[in-house]
Amino acid sequence: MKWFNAPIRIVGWPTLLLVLSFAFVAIFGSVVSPYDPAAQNLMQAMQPFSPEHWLGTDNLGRDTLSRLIAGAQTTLIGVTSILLLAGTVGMILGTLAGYFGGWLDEIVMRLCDFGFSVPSLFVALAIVGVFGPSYGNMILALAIAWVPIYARLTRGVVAAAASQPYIESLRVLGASPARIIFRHLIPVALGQVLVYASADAGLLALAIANLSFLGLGVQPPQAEWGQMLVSAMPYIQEAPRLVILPGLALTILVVGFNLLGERIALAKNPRPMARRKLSLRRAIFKQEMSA
Amino acid sequence: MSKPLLSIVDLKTHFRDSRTGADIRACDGVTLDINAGEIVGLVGESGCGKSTLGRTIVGLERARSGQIRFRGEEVLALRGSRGAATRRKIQYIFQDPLSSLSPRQTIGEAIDEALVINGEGNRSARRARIAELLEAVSLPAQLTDRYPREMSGGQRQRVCIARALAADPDVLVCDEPVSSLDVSIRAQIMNLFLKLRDDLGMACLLIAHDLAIVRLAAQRVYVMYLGKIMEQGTSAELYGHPAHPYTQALLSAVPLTNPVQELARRRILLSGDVPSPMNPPSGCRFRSRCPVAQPLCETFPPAAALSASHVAHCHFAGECDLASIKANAFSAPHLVHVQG
Amino acid sequence: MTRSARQTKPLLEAIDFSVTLHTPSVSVRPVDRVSYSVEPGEVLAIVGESGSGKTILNMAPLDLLPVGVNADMEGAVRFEGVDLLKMSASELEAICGGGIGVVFQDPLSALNPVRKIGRQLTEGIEHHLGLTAAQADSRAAELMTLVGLSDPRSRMQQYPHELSGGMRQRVGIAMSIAGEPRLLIADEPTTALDVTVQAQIVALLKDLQKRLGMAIVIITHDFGVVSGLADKVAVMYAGRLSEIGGVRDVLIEPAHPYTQGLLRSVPSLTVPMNTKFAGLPGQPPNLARRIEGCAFAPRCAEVRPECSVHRPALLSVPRSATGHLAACPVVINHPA
Repeated sequence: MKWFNAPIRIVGWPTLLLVLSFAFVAIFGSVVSPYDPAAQNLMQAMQPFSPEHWLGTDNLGRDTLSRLIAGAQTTLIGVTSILLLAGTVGMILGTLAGYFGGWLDEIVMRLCDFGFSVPSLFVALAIVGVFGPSYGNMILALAIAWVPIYARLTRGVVAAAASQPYIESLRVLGASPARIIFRHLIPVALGQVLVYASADAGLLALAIANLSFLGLGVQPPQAEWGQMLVSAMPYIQEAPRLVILPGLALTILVVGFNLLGERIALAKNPRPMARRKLSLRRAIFKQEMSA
Repeated sequence: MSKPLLSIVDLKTHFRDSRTGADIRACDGVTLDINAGEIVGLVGESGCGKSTLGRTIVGLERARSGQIRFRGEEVLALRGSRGAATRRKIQYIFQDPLSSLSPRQTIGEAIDEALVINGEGNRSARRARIAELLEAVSLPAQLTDRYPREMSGGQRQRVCIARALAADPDVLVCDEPVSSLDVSIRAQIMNLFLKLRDDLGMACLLIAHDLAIVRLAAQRVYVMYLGKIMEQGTSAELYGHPAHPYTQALLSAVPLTNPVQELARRRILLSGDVPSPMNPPSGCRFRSRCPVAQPLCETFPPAAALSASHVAHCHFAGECDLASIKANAFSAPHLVHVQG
Repeated sequence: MTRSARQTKPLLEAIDFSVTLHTPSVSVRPVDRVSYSVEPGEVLAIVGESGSGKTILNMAPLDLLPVGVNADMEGAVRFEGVDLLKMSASELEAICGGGIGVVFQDPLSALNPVRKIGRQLTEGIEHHLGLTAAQADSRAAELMTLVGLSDPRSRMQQYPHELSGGMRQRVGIAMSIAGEPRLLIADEPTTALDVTVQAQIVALLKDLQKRLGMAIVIITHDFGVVSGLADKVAVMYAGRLSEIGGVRDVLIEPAHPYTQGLLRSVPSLTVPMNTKFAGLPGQPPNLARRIEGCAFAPRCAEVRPECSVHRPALLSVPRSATGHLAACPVVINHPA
């Protein structure tokens, strides 16, 4: 169980449980889901909680639990592909800028400045506005909007590492830039990017929901939490659960990812020793010194 | 005399200050020779540009102008793989061995990578060579699987030297190679450099602020101040008859461990710190801190040859002896305190 | 006790002082039953290599260790007869600005980078001496002149980064003597500086000690700093005192093989050229383990079988001044 102890120690079991159960539901959603999330049954519309439909049904008679599970899947695929796209492109740009510097650095950083000066959601809105609303375009839009964050993060890490003597000694030894970048700088940057991405995932889930809520992202009948929210809005008086349930799911997910990112980031800072550990350590050391 | 192995001619390395845009003239026209199998000392205070010179020689900084001639080739003009192959023959040893080794590599992996870069493709040949290199720096072979953080400072510096040797160099540029090490450990590393010189004919540029260490290791010594060479000569000439006031002041600042001698001797205390290399004094660079500066010093001092090998860049080279002058005899008494 | 004995009561006295440090990753004993004393107006140099415990020996009693390090202290460290180890945090703070001044190795880390030099100086003065702002201001200018900084009024308007290393250390010294301390503890005050600047700072400390009549404990690894400044020298190895005595006795006729080796390791400008570098073989011991017998035995040329049995006590060195003690029975009982 040693491999399991380290993550629990770093992030704590509640956070880990939250994030892992989301991942489980999203990955095995189609297996555990009781109904087809898109299957309409107008005879069963607007059902309350019942043994057949645990979380009831919506105005078209679709099973809410199944749609929440499918929504988790949509969110996970969206968040993962955006992070992969933005992370990869951002890391490539950031590494080139940070290692080579000069005019390349100038261009990349000015592009980043531009990206930062406009809120990411607006950038995404503009792109979706041009290419038309769809799931794929939304992912592309958010990925482009998120690239500057990862480019700047990577550039900082790489520029700091590149001036370290161990990278300089590789240069003196005659190592090619490709060797230095792929074998030494990318592994350093990747660690930082992963830490940042774990905190960023919650924000991205929210952004996906936002765009879908505005009708610019996931299109019906595909299930997505933000889209569920907006289609439930007309029935908020009649069946508040239709709004509350996807909202709650989204809130829990965002809180979970934020906790995860925060705990990982904090794990690097030294924490004062717990009193019990300290007294144990005292006893062991006393024995060591008198043995 | 045969041609030097490495000659630096009028080398200039300037940096741009990011705030003011002014030129920082870190290394401002240095000429220096290193012969095969010779340890050459380069001494001076921090900020005098000695590290910049070393870094420029190995290509870590870009030279503004000047020449670096190595085995008759102009290194700065060489490009591509031929340039890389030539440059590789000049290796660099950093001050802090811990940060010059990757924390993610065992020392075996680090040396192995250096061999791969140097074009050794055969795995078993590399393994044999790693053992040889560790042996050459007197490290036991079982340390191969250790990480740098698990070793002592002296061992780490040996690893750095072994890795530099993997490139089969002719010259080592050593930037303060022992100043981060404990006093009792320094001798182990310094004697290793002497051994490399005697056994392999390795030439070294030993950059250091510790004049006593340079004196024992180097055959010839250059003294640098504010980007320029102030004095050069064999160790015997430079330590025996320092001709430049700056060299004299540097030597007099070296503390003695014997309290009776320390309290009895005369010490030249230079006032203040090294001026900014953005705006160095005109003429003689040392003039703003020199206890015997004259109006003539506002003009650029000529190279005064005191012997074939001993040159001092001072208008009054060899004429002044700071240690024997009384405080009130100085033309600029506010610049100096002499304690007797 | 006679009257005269009471008059010569030491200013600072450590008795069987031990420190054990616990961090999340390791437990070590960097100071192991150390006893020494400093008389008023005396300069004691504590010399040792990295990891010898010399800094912890002096910083732990003042509660100046890094945050997150748990230090257990045993024994006693008395300043003017009062045990520092039994003091509360606020009492210690009062002592640190008043009776004891502290100079750090890196003056930049002791100064706040975003506040003007003058403000940082006057703040401490107002706090510890209870002066008004105007009085504190003129006192600060006085202090800056005292540490050899010209044009104090305009210097006080500068930020730490605008000063050179040597000037920063002068400011650090000015801050530490603001409360007119009876004891100045200087931790490697010249290590980060160039030789020429180092000489200036040593001369300044010597001058201040004479003028203000304060005692100094200087912690250093550099015998060169010691020889011109100290009255008494204590040499530390692996958390223990290996030798202590007057500066001439210890530096000219060292008794302990470690002191001898360390002194030989410092190349001087007087040894013949083309001699090899002299040093010590091996590495210092691991302080997380119990050390049997003499800590230096594994690196010692004079080692005998009995060395690794009992920890050697500090014994008086024969044919030397009183107060010259060394923890090496081999050398003391079998003088060469």
